Parts: sequence; C-alpha cells; structure tokens
Amino acid sequence: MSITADLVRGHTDTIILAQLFFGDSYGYEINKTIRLMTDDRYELKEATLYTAFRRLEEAGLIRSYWGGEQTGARRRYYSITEAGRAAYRRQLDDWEEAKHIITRLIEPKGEIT
Amino acid sequence: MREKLEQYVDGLFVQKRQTRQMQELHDEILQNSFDRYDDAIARGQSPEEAYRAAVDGIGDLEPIFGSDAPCGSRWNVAVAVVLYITSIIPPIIFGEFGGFFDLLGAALLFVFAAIATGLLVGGGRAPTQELQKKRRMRALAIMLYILCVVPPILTSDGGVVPTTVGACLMFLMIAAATGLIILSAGRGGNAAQTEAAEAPAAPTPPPAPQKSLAWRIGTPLYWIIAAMLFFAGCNLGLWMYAWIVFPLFGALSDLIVGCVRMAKGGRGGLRAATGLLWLALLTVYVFLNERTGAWLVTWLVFPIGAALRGVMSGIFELVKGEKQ
Repeated sequence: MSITADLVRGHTDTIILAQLFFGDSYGYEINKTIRLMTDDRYELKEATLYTAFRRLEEAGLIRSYWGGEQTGARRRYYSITEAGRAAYRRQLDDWEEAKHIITRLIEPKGEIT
Repeated sequence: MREKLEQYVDGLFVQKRQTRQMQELHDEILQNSFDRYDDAIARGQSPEEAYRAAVDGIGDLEPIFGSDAPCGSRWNVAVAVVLYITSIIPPIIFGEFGGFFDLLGAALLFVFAAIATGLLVGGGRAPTQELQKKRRMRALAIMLYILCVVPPILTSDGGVVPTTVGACLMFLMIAAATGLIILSAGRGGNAAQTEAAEAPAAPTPPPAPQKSLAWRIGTPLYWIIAAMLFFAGCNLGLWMYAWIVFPLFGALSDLIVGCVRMAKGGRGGLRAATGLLWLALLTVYVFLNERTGAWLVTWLVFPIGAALRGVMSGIFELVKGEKQ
C-alpha cells in the first residue's frame, strides 16, 4: 500500500495536468476528484497540492486566476497551458512505458505458490 | 466550527511575512478548507469531525513557508543580540561626562536590555491570535520589570525630580507588569499549555488545577504575602532586592504546581524545571551582586535564563516527540 502512496505522490504533477486537461479547476475540486476516483483510498494534502501548483506554474505548464467572487467564495482557479498539454502527453507516454516494463519484469514466469 | 476553522488558518499565517503571495496562499488554503468542511457536513459528519477533516487535510506547510525568508523570529533575535551588546555603550560614553549623564547612561543600558528581552520573549510564533496576544503581554510585562529600575536611577541624585517620584514610578511599573502577567496567565500563559492547545482535539484534560478552590484562596494569599515581604524589604532599605520577591514566588509556584501535576500523572515536568531554573538564577543574581557589586552586568542572568528556558522547552518537546 505504501508503494502506491509514494507513486501517487510522485506523479502529483501529471495527475494535476490530467485533471486540468479537459477543463479548469481549483484545489479542493481536484482533490475531491482524486478521492472519488480512488474510492476514497487516496487524498493529497493541501500542502502537497500547493507545492505542485507552484512548481507547475513556475514551469509555465499551468496558469492561475482568481474567480468566484460572485458566489461569495474567492477561489484560485488553474488552467492548463499549451506547454502543459505537451508535457502531459509526454508524461502519459512515459507512464505507459514504465507500466509496461515493470509489469513484464515483475510478473511471475510460472505458478507462484 | 467554521469560524474556528478560519481562526486556525489565520493562525498558521500569523508570524509570516505579509506579502501578497502569502495573502493569496492564505485565501486559497482558507477557501479549500471551507470547501472540505462543507463537503464533510453535507456527507453527514458532525461539525467537529468536519473541522478535524479540514485541519488534517492541510498537511505540513513548512516547505512552502521555508522558501520565504522567515520573518519574526530570526530578525528579532538578531536585533536583540545587537541591543544587548551595544547596551554597554551608553554607560561608557556618558560616563565620561559625569553627573546626570552617568545616570542616563545606566538608564539607557536598562532600556536597551528591556527592548532586547521584549523582542526575544515576544517575537516567537503562536498558533492562534489569542496566544500571540498573551505572549506579547508577557513580553511587555518583562520589559516593564527590567525598566522599573530606570526611574530610581534617574532620580537618585535628588536633583530636579525628587527620589520619591522615582520610587513611586518604579512601583507603578512593577504593578502594571504584574497585572499583565496575571492577565496573560491561564490557558495562554505557559508553553506547556500552548502545546496542549496545538495538540489534536482528542480528549484534552481540562485545566482543573486553575479553577479549584485551592487556587482561588491561594492566589490572593500569595500576592498579599509577596506584597508584604516586598514592602518589608523596602523599609529595611533592601529596595534593590525587594522586587525579587515576585519572580521568586513565581518560580516557587511553578515548581510546586509542576510537581503536583507530575504527581497526578499530568504534564508538569517543564513547569517544575522552569521553577527550579529561575530559583537557581535568582540565587546566582543575588550572590553575584553581593560578591562583585557589578550590578551593571549581573542583570544578564535574566536574558540568559530566558534563553535557557527556551532551550529546556525545546528539549522537552524533542523528548516528548520521540516518545510518540
């Protein structure tokens, strides 16, 4: 279980880019989506998300803007940039390859007892 | 509980640099925490559970804060050290002129020392606004204790202002300082209690000793005896030392309360150790004054004591942390 948690944390940037690829979002909404998609098993801490947001923004992969004042809640929204889309496609390919290689190396060659 | 959540988040930013970036981070964390809280309530959790979930969901913000230069503490310590060192300069310079300037130099030394100690004591971070306020009050009280000798010094040559005015001002400052200490006592006045406020809301033992009958009788009695001893000391001409009665009683009460709490199985170790520390320091102070008469520097035991206490508190926290 802890290996999975490390993997999730290690791929925070890609996960965020995946969430933003099809639409703008904000901190808690991204977190909530992660929670729902993993059947309540995983949730990132706000602190982890913020460091990732700052990192991605500094790398020019996402942009942020303030909105929502009309509903009374001042929220920071993030949207993906073109550079972000390109980076996401690259990282997705990397992950597919890694998944493929590790599965081949770990999978048993015969019956395990 | 929603307001408490807002207070908690505000507290996380209390001693940080007030830049736009920090303000935006605060707003973002606050709104996301509200969303998490509201979500938990909507899913049927109690306000306490929702608050817990929101607070736990924030995580460790230190790496984010660390990238900004820390404000408060380091700067305060630097200025305080500079003030302590340069506090010797006024007596040296003004000593050349003699007469009233001699007294002015000595008075300025205490002023520098008071400001420096105030910065050290009051410059740390506290998790909530309320604790921060109490910390500031205690810092102000300690500054007043240090400064209270300035009026007697300045009026000691019996010139324009009579010495009785100096003495009265001294008592007024001591009274104000003591009042501040009493006001800031209670849940915020003690580092051990500050830690209790920081700990998760799992069953925190109620501060029973403070509301008990023994406390209600003991405290006024304590002050009456202390005040009597103080005035007795003044009448015997020991006014340079009579004020020690107050920190002395404080140290003794810390020691006794700490030991009683430890005996009851609670957390009193740090408080008892603090009491012992101050008893030792006060003894050293009186002893040094009697042996060397160098009262211009013996006051240094007090800021050193404050620093030692900080070290002790740190060690206690480390030990506690390892036990967990």
